[in-house]
Amino acid sequence: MKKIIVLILAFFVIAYDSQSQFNSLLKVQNLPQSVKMAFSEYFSECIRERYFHEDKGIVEVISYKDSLLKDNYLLSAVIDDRFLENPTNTYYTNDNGEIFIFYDGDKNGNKLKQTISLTSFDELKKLIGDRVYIRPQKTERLIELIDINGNIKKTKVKYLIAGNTWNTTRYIFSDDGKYIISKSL
Amino acid sequence: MKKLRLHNLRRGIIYSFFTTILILNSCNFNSELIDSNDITIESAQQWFENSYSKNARINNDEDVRKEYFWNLASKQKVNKTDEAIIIPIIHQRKGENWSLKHLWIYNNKKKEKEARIFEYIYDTKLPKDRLQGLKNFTGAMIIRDGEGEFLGGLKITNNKIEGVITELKSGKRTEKLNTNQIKGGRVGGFFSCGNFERCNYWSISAGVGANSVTWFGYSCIADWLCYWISTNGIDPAFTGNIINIPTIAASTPINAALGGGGWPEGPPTSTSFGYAENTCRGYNIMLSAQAAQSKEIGGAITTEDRLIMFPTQANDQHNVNFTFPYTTPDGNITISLVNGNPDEADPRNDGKFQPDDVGIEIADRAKGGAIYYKITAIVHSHPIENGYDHNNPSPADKNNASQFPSKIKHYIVNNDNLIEYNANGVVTTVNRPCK
Repeated sequence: MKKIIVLILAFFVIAYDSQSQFNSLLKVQNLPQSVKMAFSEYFSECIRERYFHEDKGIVEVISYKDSLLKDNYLLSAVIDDRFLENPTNTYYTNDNGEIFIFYDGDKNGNKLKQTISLTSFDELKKLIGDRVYIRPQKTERLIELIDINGNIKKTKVKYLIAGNTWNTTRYIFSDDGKYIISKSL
Repeated sequence: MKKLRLHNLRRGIIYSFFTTILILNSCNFNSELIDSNDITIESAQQWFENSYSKNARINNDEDVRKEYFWNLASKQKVNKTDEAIIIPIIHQRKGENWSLKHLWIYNNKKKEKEARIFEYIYDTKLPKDRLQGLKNFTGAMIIRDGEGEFLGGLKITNNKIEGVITELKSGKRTEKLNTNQIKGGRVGGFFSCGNFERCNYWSISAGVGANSVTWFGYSCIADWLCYWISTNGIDPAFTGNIINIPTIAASTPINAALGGGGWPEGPPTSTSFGYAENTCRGYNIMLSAQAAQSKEIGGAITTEDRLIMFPTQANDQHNVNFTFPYTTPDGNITISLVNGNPDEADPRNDGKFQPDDVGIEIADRAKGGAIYYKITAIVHSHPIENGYDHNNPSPADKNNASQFPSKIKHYIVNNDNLIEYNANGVVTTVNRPCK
């Protein structure tokens, strides 16, 4: 009788899982508690410090081992759909519904490119939903200004930001679960 | 400071002139002694422009830029009675960097005016910060007549004469003295400049003992090198003379002229540009400005190694915002970024620029028009603070680097290091020059 009950329960668990919208995505399950706490802390900072805008914002995580073989997590606040250009099939979410999309990185924290299936791509878009803004298509920015000779001249406008636009923060973990923070400049 | 520099300059020019004339005479280069004949700057300018400007080699079609700074000309007493007019020149031939030259005009024995042009070719093995100033000059000093005819030169190390140059090779061009000119010269040799591939061999080892692995390899870069080949032993009696090269390259008016906008060297402010004649001083200025303003500083490095720093109004303690074009409050363009060939739409496009060139155009309010500076690198400063990663580019930095042609380099400068990076991260980290 016990065996039958176990089998029935197992059937329901499998049936429940198969109804998930994100079967093709890989949900990170085995994060240490200290990492989960760090992630939660960063997410709160994104809200508190206005890295997120209005109700938009997810966190991008690049997970890698540095040259000293320490576990590093590079967290950035993302408010637009830039993930479409480099999608991932891996994510983490906590009980508050906070979304963290995961990438593997090289030892310098550079995001490694990955290939995912169309199904995974569709599921990723569904997972993120309206949590980010849709970026407009890039266009040339021209403005009319006056040159040195007094003539009106069409001039290209270009903004470049050298700094921590996405409020990137690096969490460097020791084996004992303690970590230090290093912010990008 | 300006008076002090001019004073040093005058003294340097006098020594330089004296020594050079003496050496040229000792080497029988047919140079003339100076004779006093009440020469003035005005008469020298009038004579030179009437006699040489249309024909002199310094004005040929290969010239991209040539400027005679008559406003900086000075009359120098070179001995008890004789005087010469000395005029700095900035000259740039197509495909070459600009260089500082001196035009000297004096009266010869026949009481006729005569011109000599002095060029300075730096030994490129010198540290980068010594490739522009004339203090403790090392390289070759080339002497030409007013037509640009090669009259010989001197090989100099830290202002000490080491030999006489009788032949000059630069790229495909060879210039040499004729037999009569060489006759009597006690030291012969030639100074050659050209493109060379410089290779460095390296090895990397990992592991210990039997498990160790070593990789070997080499990397080469294209470089422009100048070298000296002596064809005779150097006469001990001749060498060892100390020559004082004029230090005019560091004088403020020349810096201002090079800047195109009348800029002295100095830091940027919220609404004005900073400028340095070379990156060595420029990095120091950037870091001082960063400390003074509690803001990161951004700039661009030109092909001539000048560093132009942009206004800091939009920057903060940890971010630089480049906002091209920079304009005056009334909307006049002061500086703009040109990504691509600036002559693309110009029917006179002569192919001087490539589609992957990047430059900045600076309004020249003194002369009208705009000056285009091709740039080789974008640089921004990082403060060193606890909890911040000052030795690595941010993801946004790497994203910016990806928006430029690959030949444009990207640097971070902090108090300790100069870090080159690209879209993939750090390329090299070296100790900051001129620390």
